[in-house]
Amino acid sequence: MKRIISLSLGSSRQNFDRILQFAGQSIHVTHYGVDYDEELLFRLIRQHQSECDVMALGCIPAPVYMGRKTLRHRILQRLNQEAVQVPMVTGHLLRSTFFDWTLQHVIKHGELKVQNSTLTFLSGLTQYEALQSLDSIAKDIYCFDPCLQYRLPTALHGIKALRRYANIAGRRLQNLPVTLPNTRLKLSSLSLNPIVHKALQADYFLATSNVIRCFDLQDFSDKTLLLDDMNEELAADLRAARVFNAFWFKPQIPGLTEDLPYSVIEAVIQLCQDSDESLSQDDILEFLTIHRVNPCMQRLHAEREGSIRRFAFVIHPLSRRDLFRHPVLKPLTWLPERVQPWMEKGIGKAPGVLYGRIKGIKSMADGGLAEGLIYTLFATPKEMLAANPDAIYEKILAIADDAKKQGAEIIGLGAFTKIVGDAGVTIAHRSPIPVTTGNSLSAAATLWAARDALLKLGFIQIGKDKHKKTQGRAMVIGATGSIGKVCARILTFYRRDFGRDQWGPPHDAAR
Amino acid sequence: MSTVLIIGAGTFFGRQLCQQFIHAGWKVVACSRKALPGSLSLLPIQWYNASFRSQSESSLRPLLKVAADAEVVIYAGGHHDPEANHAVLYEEHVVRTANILHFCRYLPRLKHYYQTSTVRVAGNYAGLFDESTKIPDRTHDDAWAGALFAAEKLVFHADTPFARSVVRLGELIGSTVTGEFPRISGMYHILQALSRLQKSRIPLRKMTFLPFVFSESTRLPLLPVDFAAQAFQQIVASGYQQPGNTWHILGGETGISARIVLAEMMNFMGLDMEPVALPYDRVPKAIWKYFNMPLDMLATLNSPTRFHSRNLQACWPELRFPHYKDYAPTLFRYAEEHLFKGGKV
Repeated sequence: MKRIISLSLGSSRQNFDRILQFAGQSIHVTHYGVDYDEELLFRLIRQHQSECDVMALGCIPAPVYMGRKTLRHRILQRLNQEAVQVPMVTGHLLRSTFFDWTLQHVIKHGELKVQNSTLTFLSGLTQYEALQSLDSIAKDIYCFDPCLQYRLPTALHGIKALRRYANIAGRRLQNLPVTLPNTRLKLSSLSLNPIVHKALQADYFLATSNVIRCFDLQDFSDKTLLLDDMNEELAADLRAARVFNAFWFKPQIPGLTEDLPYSVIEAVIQLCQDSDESLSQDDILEFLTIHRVNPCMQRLHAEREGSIRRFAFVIHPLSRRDLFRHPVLKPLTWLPERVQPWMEKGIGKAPGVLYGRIKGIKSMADGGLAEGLIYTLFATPKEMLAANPDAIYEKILAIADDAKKQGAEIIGLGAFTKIVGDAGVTIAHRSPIPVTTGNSLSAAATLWAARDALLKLGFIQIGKDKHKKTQGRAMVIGATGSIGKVCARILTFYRRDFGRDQWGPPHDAAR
Repeated sequence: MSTVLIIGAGTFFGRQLCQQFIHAGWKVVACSRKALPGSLSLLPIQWYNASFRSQSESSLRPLLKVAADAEVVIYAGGHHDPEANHAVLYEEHVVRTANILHFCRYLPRLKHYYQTSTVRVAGNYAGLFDESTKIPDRTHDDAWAGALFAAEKLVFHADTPFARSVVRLGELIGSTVTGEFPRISGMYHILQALSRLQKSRIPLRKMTFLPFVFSESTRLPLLPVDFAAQAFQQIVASGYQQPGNTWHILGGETGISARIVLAEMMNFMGLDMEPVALPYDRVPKAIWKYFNMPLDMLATLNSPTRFHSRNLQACWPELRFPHYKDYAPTLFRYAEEHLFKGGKV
């Protein structure tokens, strides 16, 4: 029987003693968490090195490769100096390889929409490689490293700030004791600082399962977390804290059904190697390929989507008076009446801008969160109808492009923007994201309301005859309009006089 | 006749367990680092010396042969040295538990493994603490309780063909019959302090109250060792498996008020005074040390935890522990005669 001793610098709550059956061999794994007692860790390493085939070390700070500079924590340096007779693995290689691989996969397949999102790393240095790969696609990145390591009430904005911080605090960081704070960090109490406030508004919070234990989980209620690992206890705590959703990337190796720490999985990979040489990234990838391990993302709430879903909506002032209500244009109300039409005309030619956001929209069905991006054009209906439709299309399409960059999945055309030109058809063809005018919902809502009213009043029986048709006559007022036309056509399905395939002209149905 | 293997049989509680199982008609195989104690020498016990320091220990082989029939294994060992640091206690309890569990895998007839622990694993948990209570992170200022808690986790997360249970004991005190207790610990420190106070030149007799650092709301789960062994034996004999596989054996339903314990001690010492509660933080630790009181006693006397034994109550509602007042004089008398004569034992 092969033997793996796993020593974690972290909590002893995850201690276990198991016998695994993998690739035709029995592996006895004993995992000890030493509750952040560094001396005990080294004592156990010395004591157990003769008893095992591979030693797995968990919760050891990972080396940070920043260009030419490498930050190695004191414990890591001490481990390298320790004369250990058996191969030692820390799980860093597997963790970074699998995390990076899976992240690219889920982004590519649209399972996770992090493009143009704001990301907050609870410890950017711990996940520096992931931070580097996400830097190019995320809109903003924040890190809480100073808060985590020195309890400073601030966050870092961007990768450059993190590098600067690492350069300044580098040597001290290498000597920081690895421990769980006595009281958990409460980020919401620091939100008076604008940068912390912005960091807390992020779309995704990234952390390792050890780092997140240092923070008060209540701060992540209705937020989405991206983690490297998960255990039952943490999952229960996250549910209790009402976290919107949590995703984690953990290799699911066929044949290894147990939930094991990264360091132990890496130790199993080491055992499967023929030699005692230290593992390389190629070895890991080869192992994953041979054992058909696919990149997979697991979710805390399987039914919920990734993060806040966004939509855009285009509005415009309905009159000149509305136009001058805008805080920027308000001072211009003193202009004489004669000049104001000229102003209206001039301002109406301005391109659309992001006017504001609607936050806190929550689905009653599945708890999904949504955010609205409200764009405005400055043209009043009068200007809009007078203008060349192509010019309006261009403005709306520019808004659609920007909305896509902001992460919106659909754009709604409000008021006259859906009427101008061909009622949104051209825009729908040319827009990078789906376009809606809201007319479908209006038509559906009208018919549902009519049906409910009929049921409550009980004047006629709905769908009770042998052809499942309704006895009675319907009248649609405005049946030649886009909503009325749809209503009239749908009503023909349920009218007794018409068969399913007999479409009458709209005016026929609209008696 | 069923066979039980008691590991750590040389400890105070282990000895009581051996006696209890023999009286109940079990075949007992005992194992300890220590030599066979005199109190057990006349009993039909097979005694082996093993320390379980590593899994490849040579002394385990003969034990494996003798214990092959064991259906139940109880680990009652692990020393509690207040001076020992976290690393020593961790090795003592957690690493040894892992070795014992692995040893047990080679016992073909083994059905149930019992790990002895303490209710002190609750740490500074504020509230009602029963078998199903989830202990939050960072509650163990006491390294001994922390190590026992880590050992418990190992037992729960072990992959074994036999069932595993954890039995948490209250604050163990001497036997109700003889008052025997092998060393000064826990409540005996208070008794010793009172004894020193009585012998000092302070004119105590004129005082009507005695300030002492304790909380009025603290309830101590004092557990006489003979009753603890008896209840333990009943749990083992029944073979019950409760959800969570955890048992609490406490000295009574909700423990005994710290005030009552102190008042009883004062009464025995002839100090006609009322104990007055002082706040925990205000009294300098130097005063506490002057009376040779270990600092963990402070935490015990000010514990915000209220212990509860749900499973034991459910299985044996008729089980009754004697009241503290009934057996306290026996304990004090033994302490006076044996423990305090030469100071520390």
